[in-house]
Amino acid sequence: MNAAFYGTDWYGERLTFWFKSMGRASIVKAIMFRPTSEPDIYEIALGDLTSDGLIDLEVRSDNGDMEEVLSTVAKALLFFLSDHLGAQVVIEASSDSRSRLYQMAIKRELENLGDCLAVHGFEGENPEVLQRGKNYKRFVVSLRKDGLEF
Amino acid sequence: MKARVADQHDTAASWLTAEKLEELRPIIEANAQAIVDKEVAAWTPEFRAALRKLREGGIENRS
Repeated sequence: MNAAFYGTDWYGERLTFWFKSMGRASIVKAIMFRPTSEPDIYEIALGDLTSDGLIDLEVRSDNGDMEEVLSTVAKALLFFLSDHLGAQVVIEASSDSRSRLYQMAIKRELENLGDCLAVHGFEGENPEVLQRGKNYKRFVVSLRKDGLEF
Repeated sequence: MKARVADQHDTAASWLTAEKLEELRPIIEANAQAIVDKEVAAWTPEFRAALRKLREGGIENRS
């Protein structure tokens, strides 16, 4: 949580965030929380936003500011969860390298917010507490029910 | 190289305005929902069941 992050703007109920990644180039990033067919379960879509409104999920920016981008996404996730207390957010890793990246970022956030967040990784169909060295295909993040004593 | 980076900054800055984002909002949101719907369609019944169990607190949450 102590890493630098970008300021974000959002639409409506904090379901859509965007920010400018200012590394080697200036890239507009979108972070979107979308409802799924399962009640209270949202999925996050993170990608580069193009000037025609498309979101490129697969692009590898190599913009030199990965730490800031991941910290910004973590902030947006916390904003979202603070507005949607019962929500679970599914994060899907499109590749092994993305999976490692997400896991690093989640671990870092847990060091500061482990009492507030519940995070599980899915290698297959069953969730488990995150373990080092594993490449999880999906992560599920929510606020801990016993950590909601604001 | 410096000039190219500067150009890229200008390019992004030139289209990212509140008005443009508002104009694109329906497109952006429709695209995001389409992306998510596609991924959710690939969820197996077992994964959905595990999600429900997590939500109901049937799985220990200590991380």
